[in-house]
Amino acid sequence: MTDHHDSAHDEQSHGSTGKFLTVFVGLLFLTAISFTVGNNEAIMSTPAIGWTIMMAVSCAKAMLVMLFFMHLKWEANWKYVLTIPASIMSIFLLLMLFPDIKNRTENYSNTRWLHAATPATDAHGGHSPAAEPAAAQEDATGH
Amino acid sequence: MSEHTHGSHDHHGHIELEYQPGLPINNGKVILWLFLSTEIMFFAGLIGTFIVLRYGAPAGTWPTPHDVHLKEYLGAINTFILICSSVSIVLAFEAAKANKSSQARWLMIVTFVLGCFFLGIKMYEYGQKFEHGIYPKKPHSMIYEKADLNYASAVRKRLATIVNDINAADAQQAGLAQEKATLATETETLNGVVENSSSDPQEVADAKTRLREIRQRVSEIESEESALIAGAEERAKHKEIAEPLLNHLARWTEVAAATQTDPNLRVGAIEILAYQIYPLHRDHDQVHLFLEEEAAAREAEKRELTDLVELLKTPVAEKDDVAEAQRAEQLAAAEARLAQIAGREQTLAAVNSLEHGLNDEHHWLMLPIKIPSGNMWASTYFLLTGFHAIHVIVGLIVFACILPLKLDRSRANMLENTGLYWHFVDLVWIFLFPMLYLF
Repeated sequence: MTDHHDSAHDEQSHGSTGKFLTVFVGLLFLTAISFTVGNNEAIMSTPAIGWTIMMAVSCAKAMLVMLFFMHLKWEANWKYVLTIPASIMSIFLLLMLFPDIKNRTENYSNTRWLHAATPATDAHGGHSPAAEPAAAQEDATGH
Repeated sequence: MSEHTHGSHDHHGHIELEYQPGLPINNGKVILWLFLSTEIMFFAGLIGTFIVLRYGAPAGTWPTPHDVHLKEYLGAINTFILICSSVSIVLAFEAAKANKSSQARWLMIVTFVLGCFFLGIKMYEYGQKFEHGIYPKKPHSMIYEKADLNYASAVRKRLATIVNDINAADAQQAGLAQEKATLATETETLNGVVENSSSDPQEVADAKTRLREIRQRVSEIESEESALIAGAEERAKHKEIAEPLLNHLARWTEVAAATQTDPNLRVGAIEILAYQIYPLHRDHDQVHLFLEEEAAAREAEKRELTDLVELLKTPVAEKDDVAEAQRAEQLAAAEARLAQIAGREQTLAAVNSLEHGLNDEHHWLMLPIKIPSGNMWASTYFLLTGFHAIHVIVGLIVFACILPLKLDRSRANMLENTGLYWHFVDLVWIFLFPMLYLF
C-alpha cells in the first residue's frame, strides 16, 4: 500500500464516471432480459431455451462487471493467469455435470427404469415409469 | 514494493539487493486476485452441488419458485441493489484516487447501506420460508415428500393437538371460575362470622386469617384467568375451524386411505388433504379429478344408505326382539355414516371456497405440508444464499472498518481491493439469481 503514486497516475486515464454509468445501465438492461425470460411462459415451456438465455445473459453481466468494475480490461497480462484456469475448472465442472445428471434418464432401458427413483408425478398417476419412460421424461423437462 | 529499490527502508545495514518486482501491481491486489480465483472454484463447487441435487431429484418433483413462496421480484430488487452498490464502490475508488476523500466516504456509506438493504431483504425472505415451515430438515421443517399415510397421520396429530390444547385451556378457565365461585361463597360465610358480634374471638381471628388467604388466592386466580379470558374468543374461533378439519378432513382421510378398496380413491383421499393444506399448482388438475371421483363415490354411498334407512324404518309384520335390536343398530350405523358424509361435504365445500390453502388462510394451523423434494430444495437454497450472505456480511464488516478512515489517495489501493471483493459478491449473485429464482 506504499506505492500509491504509481497506481494513481497509471489509472487516471481510464474509468470515467460516464463509463461506469453506461455499464450500470447495461447491467440493468440485461437483468430485465433475464427477468422477462424467466417469467415468460412461452419461453419457459421449453425450459432449456430459457435456461440457456438466462445463463448467457448472466455470463455477459459477469463479463461487464469483471472488465469494467474490476478493471480487468486495463490490467496487464497477469490477469489471464489468475482468472482463466479457475474459470476453466469451474465452467468445465458445470458443463460436465449438467448433461450427466440432467440427461441421465434419456437412455434408460425399461429394465433400468425399474430401479430408478420413482417420479412423484407417476406415484399417484397409477402407471409405472417402466411402462412409460417417455412420459416420465416429459415431466422432467416440462414442470 | 517498488520502493525497496530506492533504499528508503534500508537504514539498518542490510545489503541492498537489486530485484525485479514481480508484477506492476501492489501485493494486496495480487493476493486478493488469488483469493478470488479460489472463490470462483468455491462457488463453482456449490453450483455443481446444486446441479447434482436439482437434476438428480426424481423427475418433475423440484419445486418451482412459486411452490416455495419465492418471490421473483424480491430477487430482482436484490440484484438491482447489488448492481447499484457495485457502481457506488467503484465511484468511491475513483473519488479516492482523485483525492476527494469526503466524496469517497459518502459513496462508501451508500455502498454500506445498500449492502444492509440486501441483507434485510434476504432476512425477510428467510423469515417467509421459516413462517411456512420450509426448513432443510426436521424438527422445524413441516415438509413431507409425499402424501402418504404417514403424512395424513401427521396432519391428524397436529389438528388433534390444536383441539386438545384449546379444550385444556377452556377446562382450566372453567376450573378457575368455579374455584372463584366456591371461594366467594366461603367469603360470605366467613364475613358472617366476623360481623356477628356474638362470635368467639378465636373464631373471628381464624376467619380473618382465612379471609386474607382467600383474598390472596383470588388475586392469583384473577391474574391467571385474565390471559385465558382474553384468549377465549380466539380459542372458540380456532376450535370452530380446527374441529371440522380434524373430523372431516384428517380423520376421514385416514379412514378412507386405510379402508378404501379402490386404489385411486385411496391415494386421492390423501392427495386431496395435502392440496387443501398447501395447494401446489401442478397438482391442481389431478386433485380436481380425485375430488370428482370422491364426490361420485359419496353420492353412490349416500343413495345406498338412504335406501337402507328407508327399508329399516318401514315397519315389519313379525315382531322379533333380536331382529329388532339388530335393525336399530344398523339404522344407527347408517345414520351416523350419513352424518359423517354430510360433515365431509360441508367441510370440503367450506375449504374449497377459500382463496388459498389452509396454512395460508390460518397461519396458526401450521399443518404439515407436502412438497416433493422440498427439503432438498431448502437445503440447496439456504446453502447457496447462505454462503453468499456470509460474503455480504464480511464485505459489510470491511466497509465498517474502512469508513472511519480518511479515504484519500493513500487509501485508494485499499478501496480498490475492497471493491474487487465486493464486485465478486455481486458476480456470484448474478448467477444465483436466475438459478434460484427463475429456473
